[in-house]
Amino acid sequence: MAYDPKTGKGLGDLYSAEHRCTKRREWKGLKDTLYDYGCWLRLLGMLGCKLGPVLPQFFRGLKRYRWLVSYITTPAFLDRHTIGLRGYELRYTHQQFYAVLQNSAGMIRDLLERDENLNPHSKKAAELRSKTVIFDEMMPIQIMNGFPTLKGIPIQMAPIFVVGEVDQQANIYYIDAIEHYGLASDVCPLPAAEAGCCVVDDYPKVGAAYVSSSMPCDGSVASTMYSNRYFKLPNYQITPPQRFNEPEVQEYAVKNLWGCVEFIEKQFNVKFDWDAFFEGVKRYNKESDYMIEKWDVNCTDYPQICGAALALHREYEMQIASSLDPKMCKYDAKVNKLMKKGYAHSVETDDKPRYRAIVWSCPAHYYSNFTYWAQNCWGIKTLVDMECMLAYHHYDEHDKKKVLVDMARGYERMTMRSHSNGGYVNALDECWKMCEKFNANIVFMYNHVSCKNFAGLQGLFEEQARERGIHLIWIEHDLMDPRTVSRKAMRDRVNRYMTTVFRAEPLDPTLVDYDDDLTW
Amino acid sequence: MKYFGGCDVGSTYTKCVILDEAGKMVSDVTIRSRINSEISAKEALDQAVAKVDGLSGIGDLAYLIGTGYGRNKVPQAQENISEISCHAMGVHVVDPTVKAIIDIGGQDVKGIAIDQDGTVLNFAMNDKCAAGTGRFFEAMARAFECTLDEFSELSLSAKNVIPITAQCTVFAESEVITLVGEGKPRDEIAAGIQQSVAKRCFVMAKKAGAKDHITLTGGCAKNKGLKAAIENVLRIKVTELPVDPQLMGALGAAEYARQKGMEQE
Repeated sequence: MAYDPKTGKGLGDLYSAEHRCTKRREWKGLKDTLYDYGCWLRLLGMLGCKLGPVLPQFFRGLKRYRWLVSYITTPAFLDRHTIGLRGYELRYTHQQFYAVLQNSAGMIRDLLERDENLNPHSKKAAELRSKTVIFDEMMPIQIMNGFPTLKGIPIQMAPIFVVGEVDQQANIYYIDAIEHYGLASDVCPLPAAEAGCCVVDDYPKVGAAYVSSSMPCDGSVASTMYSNRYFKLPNYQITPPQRFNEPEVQEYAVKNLWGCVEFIEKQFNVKFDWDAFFEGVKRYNKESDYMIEKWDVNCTDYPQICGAALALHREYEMQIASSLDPKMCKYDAKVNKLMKKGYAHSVETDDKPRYRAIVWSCPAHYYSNFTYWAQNCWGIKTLVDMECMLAYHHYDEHDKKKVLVDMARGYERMTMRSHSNGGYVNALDECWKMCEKFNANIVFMYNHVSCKNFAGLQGLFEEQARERGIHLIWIEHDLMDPRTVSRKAMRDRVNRYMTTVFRAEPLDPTLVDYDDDLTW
Repeated sequence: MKYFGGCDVGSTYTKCVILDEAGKMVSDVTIRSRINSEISAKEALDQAVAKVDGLSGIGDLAYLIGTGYGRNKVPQAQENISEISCHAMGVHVVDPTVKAIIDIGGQDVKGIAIDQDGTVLNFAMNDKCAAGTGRFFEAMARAFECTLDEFSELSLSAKNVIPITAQCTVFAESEVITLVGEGKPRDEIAAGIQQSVAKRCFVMAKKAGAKDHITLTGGCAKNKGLKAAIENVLRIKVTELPVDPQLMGALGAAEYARQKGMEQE
């Protein structure tokens, strides 16, 4: 418990309205502070090792790319997600985030060492570029398991997607750039920022071919068309079926996916290596098993790996690392082993959460630690997040035809597609199923104000939640743009609901009202 | 005898209610809010206290609760409670049969569903836009060059409704000015305005889960034309409260103060 009733000091006191960072690091007691500090040093060490070999490019990159500067705040990002945590939960969270961050650092290194803007005369960089395929986010980069001599890089991840979580201000510049260019300001800020990054020429030039997509909404389709013109690379478009629950669409999906394999084979004059691919599939299946174990534990009275540690990790593992990084599996094994110990400890001490919640709809990138705030302030434990409830079925590990069907099904259920596409049952009925499965009576219902996908279902959600006695707490946000709905405004929604409907007292009153508009 | 106070500092009006130990309302005051919430609250409290024999100042109240937009600024208040809870409690005190409320304040609209004991079950609110709030009616009355009271009754004589298409207060005002300029019947334009607000209320009421009957609170609850339009749009009965509906927030706060003050004993 971070709040001290005697002094009235709590976690909210760490923030100040004038500063981007907290006043100081949190004191978590001797043992946990030492652990925390150790992890902080380990993170710095890892960043040093990963980025050391590309240090000259890194410094040139700081001048060239605005988004790269935000990554300097990565230790603060980790702090934000571990604030208020103690014991096993602190350890899980550190491990989960370390896995994500080491992969992200690797991705940034890959970008820096290949980038034509930073290495204009380097033969080595040119050679690396000639063996690199760039992917739109949420595309089946998993395919690259079958091309061990090539590299796949999800191109928007480092400049837009991940950095928006690291620094809430990071995407604003790109959103403004595309709006000054003429885009209406009510477009989803994610594709807007991605297109804005093209406008200001802030993408590294790293590939020789581009696999793009029709993502789940019109905004992203438009953004992809724009990116296509910007990258000027040979391009293949994967268009996962929207009504993916219908069996008839699978034949098309497989054909579309295999078309991508043939495109890469042709562009790079290499053959698809099925053995290497099946090795990746085995890793993916293992990663899914670890995830299911975590979910299963969270269904019990003693949930363990909750909030962003669960959600961001899964999202990242499937969408970006995509079984291409064997280290992810290694970290998963370690965390799940620790989770079993933590569970036994919770049972022994009867450490149950005060409130149980799930997160539904698309969460705010600029407030990825929102669930930890809810936990620290009100004792609401977030057991699962819609965005991490992606595909979790096993892929066939031997049959070439079957594995492609499995993979197509997997990518139809990718982030932002799995519940917002495919019919309303995926959004609506699935929500109640998850409430029942996780024994949660609170739903943090994110209302992304620039997204129309869920807007039509609001009335049905309200009505059905009432019938089921579930508390829907609607939380407006604007995905990547904190100027539309600030973090504070998001918290106010929960504060108002908790005091009015639950008549609850906060665990840490200093977290009810504080100013973090400027913080990373 | 002990007395308990509730002070609802709203964006346009500040209301104060004092209850005795039995829960009887012994004093109430409604004043126009000043720019400074603290001054508004003090002024309203001073006036309310002056009406009660046996009270010489705010400090004599056994328990005082602040609510509303400026609830943190009520001087000498022991605590503050959200206006949603206070409106629910206020309505529950005067009519326990009511289970759903539409509260139309100066700068927001809320739909509130309540339990048998006055606890809030659910609520929905629009606090981002002036459309359908007291400010909206003030702007419309200004466009008609009449008082709010005159405006509220204007639509009752309308035989037809001229729909107002603009949602935004600013655009709606210019739309109304255009319609008035075109010589359209004023009562029919007013009916259109009332209907557009009623539709907003419909959304809030549905979100909160209103079913068979509702009541209106807040300053706009006194608007007869709006009440008629809401009954027409929602097709559910609007229950009249026996106490000034604008006082419900302050009354609820005073009732909470009474319960807490008595508990302390």
